[in-house]
Amino acid sequence: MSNAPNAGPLHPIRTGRSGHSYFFYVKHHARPPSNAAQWLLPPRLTADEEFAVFDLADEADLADDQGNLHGLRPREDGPGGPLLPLGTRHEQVARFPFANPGVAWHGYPIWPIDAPRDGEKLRSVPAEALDRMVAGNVIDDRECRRLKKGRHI
Amino acid sequence: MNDSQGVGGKSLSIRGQEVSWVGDCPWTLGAAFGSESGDFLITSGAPGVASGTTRFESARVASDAVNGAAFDGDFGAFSTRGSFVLVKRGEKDPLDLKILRHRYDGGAHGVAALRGGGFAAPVGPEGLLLAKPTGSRPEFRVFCVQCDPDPFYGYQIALAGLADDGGDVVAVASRSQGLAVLNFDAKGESPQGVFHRYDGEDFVAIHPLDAPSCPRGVAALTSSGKILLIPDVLKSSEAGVLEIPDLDGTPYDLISRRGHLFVLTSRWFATFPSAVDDFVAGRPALGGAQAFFMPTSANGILPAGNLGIYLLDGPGVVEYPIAGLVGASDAAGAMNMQSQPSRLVLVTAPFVKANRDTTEMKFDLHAA
Repeated sequence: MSNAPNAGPLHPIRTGRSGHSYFFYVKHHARPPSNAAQWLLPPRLTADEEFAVFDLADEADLADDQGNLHGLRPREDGPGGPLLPLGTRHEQVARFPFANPGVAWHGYPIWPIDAPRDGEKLRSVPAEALDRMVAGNVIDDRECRRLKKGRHI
Repeated sequence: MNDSQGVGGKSLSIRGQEVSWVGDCPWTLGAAFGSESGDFLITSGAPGVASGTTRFESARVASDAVNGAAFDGDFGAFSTRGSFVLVKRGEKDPLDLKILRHRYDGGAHGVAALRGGGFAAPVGPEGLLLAKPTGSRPEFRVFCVQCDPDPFYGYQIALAGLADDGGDVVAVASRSQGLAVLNFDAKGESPQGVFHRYDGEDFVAIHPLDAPSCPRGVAALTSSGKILLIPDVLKSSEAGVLEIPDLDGTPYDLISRRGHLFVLTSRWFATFPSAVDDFVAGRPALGGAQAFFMPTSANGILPAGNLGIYLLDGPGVVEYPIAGLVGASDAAGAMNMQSQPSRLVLVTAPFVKANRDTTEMKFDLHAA
């Protein structure tokens, strides 16, 4: 089930490793301009492709110290190959905030640098999650160095 | 420090540190370094280029990788993806850094020192951050400049000379939105500017053209691998476009220096000798120019003074003399460079005229 009524439709498939369910939060699927981070919309990013980002994050356990998962688009060429964006502002990494057992997860693209917004600090992908991406062969060492500097890969 | 690649490249690593930024430091008249752990490092002893026996001294300025540093008199600014740090150095010890408090609580993609005083930093969705010294230094007034109602993403910046009244001109690569160009008055206030949109292009890097006859010129790199050479970015969006089909890999960075272009992708470090000189002079010979492609695993390139290029490679740095890179044709085989048919495509007419759009920017200035 979704975290809130009408928060967004549920994907029919669960993640392969943990069996997490996932819903598409309408807040992050709006037409720009919007203050909230926005996923690319079909045909640039389909619902299945968005779910694949989450499934990869779960499969490789790309978690930070708070249990949030982080993912990027699966690449046929593996680390070092071209990486398509997943957000409307060319974001390449998405965050999936930790959800309690039995509660559906959701996600949104995150910026490569921390950004202040409405009194909060919206954080980029934590270093420990990047290190797990390297260990899981999701990104290579060079890409990790660039992401740690807030650069694109 | 070792000779590298046979063109006078010198590699440098710092024990216990992974270099994330390197550049010239007026405080030491030599190279300074930023590390992945957030340290600022300088060489101790005599000023100049580091050598194998060089000792380094460091000061912690942030908790994550330094991606930029700039200096304005006794003041310095450091950028990381999580912070923007202003410091004042001690009178005797350049590493006696007093961190100055300000209210911007976010990261930056880099930082540059303005000629009119203070610093500018591209801060992603917040636009362009300006840290201007107040009359009662060491206090800085920090605020963000954003475009209204269509916000831009401040990604990379280039100082593009001076406006007619002597104020700084700053060009901002703002990803798919295009290039934002701001000019300030001589006091560094009252920003005005224009927005150059190039339909469909995503700008990932920008650098001053470094051509005396084009003081407000910039070179910009798109994610599709196009290089735009813009002679006067404040005056016009007209550009020459270099399309380089052989330059595969993800475009990362570019530098324009001394008439030459240097481009880094995820596969190549490419040198285009005299490409800017030829463009500025309007020489049609550009289309027949040679490019030299070096396979690389570097994650960034930065200018090394006026005569060299730094490649950030792994945890260390390789410094190449520009003269060695552009004169590499004779040594291409020996140094594993590949001299390729350039197939450069030069368009001296306005860039995709039908899809170009320049608008005046309406600014939204807000305190950070």
